[in-house]
Amino acid sequence: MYKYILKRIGTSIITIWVLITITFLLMNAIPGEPFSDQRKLPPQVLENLNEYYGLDKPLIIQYFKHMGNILKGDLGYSLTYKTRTVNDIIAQAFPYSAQLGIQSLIFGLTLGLALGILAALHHNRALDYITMIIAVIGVSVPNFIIGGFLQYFLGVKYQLFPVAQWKGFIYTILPTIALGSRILATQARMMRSSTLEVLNQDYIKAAKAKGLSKTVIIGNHIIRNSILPIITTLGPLSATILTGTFVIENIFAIPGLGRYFVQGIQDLDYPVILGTTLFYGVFLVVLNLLVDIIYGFIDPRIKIVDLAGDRL
Amino acid sequence: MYRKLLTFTMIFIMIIVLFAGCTSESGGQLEEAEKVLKIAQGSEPPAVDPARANDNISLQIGQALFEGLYRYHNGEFIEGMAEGEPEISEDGLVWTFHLRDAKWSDGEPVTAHDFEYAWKRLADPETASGSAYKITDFVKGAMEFNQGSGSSEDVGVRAVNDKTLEVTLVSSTPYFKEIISFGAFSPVREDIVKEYGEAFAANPENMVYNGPWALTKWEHDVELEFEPNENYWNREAVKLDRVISPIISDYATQVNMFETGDLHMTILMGEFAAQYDEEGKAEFFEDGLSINLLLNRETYEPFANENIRKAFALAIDRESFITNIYKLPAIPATNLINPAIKGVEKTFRDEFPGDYFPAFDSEKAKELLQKGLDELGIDSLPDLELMFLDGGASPIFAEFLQENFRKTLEVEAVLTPISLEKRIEISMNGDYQTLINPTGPDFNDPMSTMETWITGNPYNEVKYENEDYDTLVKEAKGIDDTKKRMELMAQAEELIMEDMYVVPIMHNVSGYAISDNVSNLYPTAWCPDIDWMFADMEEAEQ
Repeated sequence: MYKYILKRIGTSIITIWVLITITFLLMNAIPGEPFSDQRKLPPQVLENLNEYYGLDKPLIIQYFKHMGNILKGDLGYSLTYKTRTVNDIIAQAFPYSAQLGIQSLIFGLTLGLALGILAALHHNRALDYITMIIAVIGVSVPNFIIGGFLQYFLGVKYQLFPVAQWKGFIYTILPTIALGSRILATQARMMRSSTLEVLNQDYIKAAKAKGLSKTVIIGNHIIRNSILPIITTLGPLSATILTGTFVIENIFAIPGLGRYFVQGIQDLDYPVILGTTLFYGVFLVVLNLLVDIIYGFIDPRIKIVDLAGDRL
Repeated sequence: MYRKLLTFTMIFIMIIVLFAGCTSESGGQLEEAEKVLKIAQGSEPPAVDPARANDNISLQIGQALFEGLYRYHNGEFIEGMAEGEPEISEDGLVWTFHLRDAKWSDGEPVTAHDFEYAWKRLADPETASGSAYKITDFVKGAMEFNQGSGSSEDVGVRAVNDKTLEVTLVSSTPYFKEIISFGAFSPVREDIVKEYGEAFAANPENMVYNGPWALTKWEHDVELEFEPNENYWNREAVKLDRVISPIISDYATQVNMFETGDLHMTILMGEFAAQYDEEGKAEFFEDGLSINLLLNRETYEPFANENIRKAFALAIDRESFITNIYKLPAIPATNLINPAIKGVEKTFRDEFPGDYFPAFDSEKAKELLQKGLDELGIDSLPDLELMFLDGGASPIFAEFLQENFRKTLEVEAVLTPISLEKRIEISMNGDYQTLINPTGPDFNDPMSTMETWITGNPYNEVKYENEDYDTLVKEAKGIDDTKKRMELMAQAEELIMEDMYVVPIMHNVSGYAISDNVSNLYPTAWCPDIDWMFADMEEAEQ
């Protein structure tokens, strides 16, 4: 088991190195330069700026400099927010994104899974159809429409919730619903189909034949089995949701990390692009590893086996 | 099972309560008698340090915290750290400023040495300031220092004593007072900059102020909060008790927050502007932006013909575009100088209306076209490539122009969108036939626009060459008499409009919704674009 985890960590490091290298190459391939925006800066001013930030050096030297700094845990100063380091930016912004993400996951998962199970148990009946209509709307209507809609009706028109900002629990409700609605919809659909599949298994028939009560069948046999495929998707889903979403954070003025992924690229803020990508990459790899380990505990059929077939 | 469900629900509620506990502190109840202005910023200010601030938001915060020799306020240049008018040597090259008694927020006096240090720091290549050109263009020795060939001792800024600052210019610059009202020319304290280095002005603790406001809170990406600087020399001019500036990047959200009273002012973009205008709740201000069409005779030969160029200018139905498509009360432009620019007493446009040609005349356009075609000996115009910035209002402009040119001039314009990054490269290299060019002056004087079109200026993107024009503009650059100077520039403007390589289309306006309770709050055509320094409120709000 430890051997397996060590091996996984090894491959993770290589994955992240490849990720950074590709990001570095791609971001330098984007046309334009960090300081050549709409302002017509005189050449001398531009030169001084590039020299200051080391952008006048050959790419390969810049690359090794960045890699060296990353190894030291130093992500460098942002080119746009000149007095802030990328480490500071991530440290300040991530907690907001993480909180919004966790709340949305809780909201989306609990409601989504419950609806999915209910729909499957009422297969082809009214409840099933209603659930699937909700799911289709949730999947197909973009976040920013749902967000704008909630903000306008519940914030401006009926003034039940604050319009925007992040100053207490009440402020988090609308963005949580807006962000969680898609999780709710996708999870409801997945849970429904996975439950339907489990319902047709022989062991469910056996359980029914044994005369077990409905709650026991649902709790001990159906949910435990149908939730397995959902757990697989949780790693990437959590990584994406927890590291911030540009659209919802933008609409509700949440000081999260999401905007830096988008703005870094728009402003060609190289340290921010590299830093946020690295952060996201590490986060994703770690969560995936966690999910794989948890999976072994939940599903006894899956044990981590080495090449010789021995159990580790 | 039910017990399990109950436990689960309890845990769920506990988690949520826990989270509610860890969210950031709420703003707290405002005290009843306080006048608190709430005004949003579109993004986190990139840099408050005067030498490194060169965007609207940073400069807006800069003008609250710092004060240079003069300050632009409500259409005038008012005294700041300077007391009275500067003394100017006869040749116009040496300017001597006398400083008033003023203090930094930590009680230290503001001295001429603070200015000398700040201005030299601005020009220093080590500072790598994006605003360095503001000083290198005007102050003697600053260019050489910035390029690495000179030294800081040779920069023409000198503190004669604590209260006197002497500045030597490259050439006579009658509008130098306007130039130095820009935020980059604010004083900074050497000891504080040295103490904090890179982190100077990164947060409220790492700086001292001499402006009307002090920054009391800067929560990154969340909110800034200002309170009056008790040490400010003109403390009684500051009327509000507090200013709260939340960072709201989405404009629709700003409008929604204005609706619920969470903001006292919002900019109105796109549909909102039209909607608020219809309801009579919008106010429009000239924002300094002008839209021109650049005609390049080197890549599209018919543009070498004056009649053809004029035909293009007359074929654009400016009024119709503004009323039917743009829907904001912009001004159809039949001249180059933006109406926001100051003249002698009033605005330049008030004093020199400059209606150099009709805003639309299709008959005349057709006539001129025919004349031009005859002179060139061709039957019709070849297809024309029309470039425009991809984004904002430019694409709808391009389509409208395409339609106008097709209908009146029977020429097919091929539309090519270009990115902001490409735009400068394209226009500087002359790789275009026609280009829609949104442009704004750098400083509040017609010279900012006029000097662009002098023969050989690197930003003269149509390669305009007219000796008479050059003579007039250069003459205007060298004289102190404002009235004469403005007259010369009006004459020069008439010349360039006669030649018509740059076709004016419209002068833009920006729409705002401003709470009735707030007074003395001005959107300006300059950078920074909002001036709330001396705003007041009729009554305090809960």
